[in-house]
Amino acid sequence: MSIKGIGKAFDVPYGFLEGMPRIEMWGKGCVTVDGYKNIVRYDKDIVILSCKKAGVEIRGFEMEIKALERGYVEIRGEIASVTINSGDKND
Amino acid sequence: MIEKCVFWLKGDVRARIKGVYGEKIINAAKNKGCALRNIKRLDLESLELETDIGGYKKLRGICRKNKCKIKIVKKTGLPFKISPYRHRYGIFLGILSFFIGIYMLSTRVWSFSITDDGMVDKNKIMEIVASYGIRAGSVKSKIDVKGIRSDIMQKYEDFTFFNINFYGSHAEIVTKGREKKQNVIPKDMACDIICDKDGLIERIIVKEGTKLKERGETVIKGDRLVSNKLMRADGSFTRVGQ
Repeated sequence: MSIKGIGKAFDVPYGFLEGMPRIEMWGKGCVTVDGYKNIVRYDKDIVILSCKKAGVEIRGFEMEIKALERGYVEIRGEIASVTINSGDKND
Repeated sequence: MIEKCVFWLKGDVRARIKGVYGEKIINAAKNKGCALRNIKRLDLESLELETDIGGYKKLRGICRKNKCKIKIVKKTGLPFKISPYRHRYGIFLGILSFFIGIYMLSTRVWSFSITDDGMVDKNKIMEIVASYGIRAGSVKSKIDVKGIRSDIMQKYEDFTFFNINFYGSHAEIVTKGREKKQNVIPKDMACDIICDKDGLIERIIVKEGTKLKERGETVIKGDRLVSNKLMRADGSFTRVGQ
């Protein structure tokens, strides 16, 4: 098992990434989160997503949810920060 | 671009949801399998989103359960364009018959052209082709080009090549004729040698017959060069080979 972008150079113990979301940033204007469970809060300046083992907090301005499907969300806007709070289920 | 076309075909609905449980509705819609797009927060109590017709129907039920209001802001796409005409069966029948007609007509041959070397008469080629049932209006799939080709090549000695190419509803008949054998006079038959071109005789050697022209003479087309008559010693004539 390896983390995306790091490849085989960094081996992660099995089970570490289980339930963790896969977050990708496309410049400062777009963030995609794959593997989230629920949207806890959605506002223009903050989006909080809950995952199995972590919570994702995205802060920014004029944020829109461009696409939303089962387990996948694409957020566009002026992204200021993306924080992962691992271990805390409903951040 | 393709995505937009798919949305347009499925029908796109932009809806405004009013209520305090915006996130709850989004989560419920996601769990029910609705694909939502362009979710925009307008204020604390309302948000706008886009979905397809099926998704909107599911969203309506979810909103009712959560005591939220849902309102369509914009409708685009094919289902909304054709919905005013849904009771006018004639239009749909016309469109359907148009496409069926186009399909039926495109499976047939409507025009012919012949590409040949001029050895065989074009009317004859058309007659041969027509004898195999290929005429304007024939169904292309029923024409066995290979079979016809081999049959024609065996039956008619005039052709060295025969093929039919289809370009949509146009058929191109490609033929190559066989060169006719020249009439060769048998060796034992007496004949004159006649000039078939104008020119100057540079050399003339006659082994049998009577030489009528000499070296250096100019001749024109049709002049007799060598006669088949031979003069005997007694002054009478005989023919070559007799």
